[in-house]
Amino acid sequence: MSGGHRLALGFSGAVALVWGAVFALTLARAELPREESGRVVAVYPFGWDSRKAAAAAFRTEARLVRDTWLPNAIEVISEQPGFAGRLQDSGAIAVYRAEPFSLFTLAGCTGLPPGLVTRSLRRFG
Amino acid sequence: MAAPAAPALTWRTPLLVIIAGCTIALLNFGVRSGFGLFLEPISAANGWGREVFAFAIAIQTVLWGFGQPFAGAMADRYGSGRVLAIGAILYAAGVALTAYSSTPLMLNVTHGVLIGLGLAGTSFTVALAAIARMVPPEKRSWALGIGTAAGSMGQFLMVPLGQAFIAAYGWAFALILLSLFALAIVPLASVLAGRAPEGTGVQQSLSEALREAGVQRSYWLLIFGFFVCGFHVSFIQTHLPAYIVDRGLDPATGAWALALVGLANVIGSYTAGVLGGRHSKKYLLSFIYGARAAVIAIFVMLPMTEISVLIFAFAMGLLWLSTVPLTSGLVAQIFGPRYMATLFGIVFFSHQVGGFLGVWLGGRLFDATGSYDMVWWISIGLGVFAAIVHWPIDERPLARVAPVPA
Repeated sequence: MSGGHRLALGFSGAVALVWGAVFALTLARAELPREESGRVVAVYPFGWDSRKAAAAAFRTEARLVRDTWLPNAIEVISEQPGFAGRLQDSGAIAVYRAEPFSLFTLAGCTGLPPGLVTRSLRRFG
Repeated sequence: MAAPAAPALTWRTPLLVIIAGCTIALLNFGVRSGFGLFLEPISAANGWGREVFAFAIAIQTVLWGFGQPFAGAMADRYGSGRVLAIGAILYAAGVALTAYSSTPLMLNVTHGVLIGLGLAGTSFTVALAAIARMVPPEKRSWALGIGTAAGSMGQFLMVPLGQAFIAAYGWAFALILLSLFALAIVPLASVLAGRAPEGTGVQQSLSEALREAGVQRSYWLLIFGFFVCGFHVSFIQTHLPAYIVDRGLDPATGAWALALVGLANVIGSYTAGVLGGRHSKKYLLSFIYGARAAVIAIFVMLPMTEISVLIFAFAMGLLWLSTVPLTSGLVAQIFGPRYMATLFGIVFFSHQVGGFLGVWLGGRLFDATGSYDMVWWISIGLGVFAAIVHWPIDERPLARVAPVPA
């Protein structure tokens, strides 16, 4: 492998390491305390499919908001205090506050003016 | 004759320059790519409709596009380091002050004007030109490739990180954190300080360089070709998820497709840079645009499945910003690196115009016809057009008459 390719790999590896560390620390910080409730994303162990994750969440009083891109994560809601703790007891390895996310978000990520140019996306809200 | 690269100055070795340039590209693209995440929380917190944030982004996009040739000219005149540092300060200030913008006017100033100018000052145009000046010509294409790939990597990595910041700290503090990333460009800029010494080629003023480029057919062909790149990239990035949902697939497939585009883009950009150092850049560009036309045609003509969407996304990702190291490399190769930031800035402006048209036309024609079919076929036609216009480019360095010493 040439020196140039080694540099490219080294740079990518260093970036991935720094990114991974910052991302992991941030995710740990973002975990909800047990007493929290509301609209949340419950993350179950990797390898669980969406059916198994949903079944576990529904052992609590959770109501489904929507599935997520990850099969082992599900967005649910309950206003009863201690909801996050009960989800953890049902097997969730982490519970996060659900952030609003839609195709508008993706359009915004392009850096282009979403309202001006993505009228067609409105159909999907 | 091509101007040789500027000699490395003391501690500013080519290795350090490349690493700093790549990190700047990563931060510039990365921070910007996460702005969409703030659309809903900022709008909700202030009780605004989406149009308020959208208008600020529109201002930002226009200033970013218009500002690049001017930022390039300033970099060529006063040095890349200064322009990058000032750009980074504006960028960081804009991101941080967005958190405190409680009226639409304030948001337009912070998220629109400050960030737009900051993006222009820290853009690819300035960073890649600085890299091109400071590495030997035989390594230039590779260096531009790794710089572009780093920017692509920033786009890919910063969106989930921005989302995690919002979840952990709330949207306002997440903006402050992102502003620190933008501010990190300031110390990195010192590595790219300086400009190409006058003695590295025939002495020219900026206006002479512009006049010279303006009468070169090859320069105009590059401008036309890069317009097509912007059209393709922006149309697909913005409208692909909606197109996929129209065809009955899950919206998540669209999201995965965009993520796959981002990942393949890193590979494609780097590979294009490497190949550009070994083969004719204009023929590689012709191939890339022709391949885009073919990939799009196959995608729209075949029945759509999740697998076909992901294959399309990966193939387009490989061809995505792979045009950047080759186009910027051709500018440096033909005109020399002395005024590359200005000349490539103008070419990049054409890319932004194409990008705006691709997104806007996608929406307009969808509203008019009820489908994206016409825009896909326009994209195919433009791909063929770009493949053709790159073919006759004369990629030999411009022959200039050097002044005879007295």
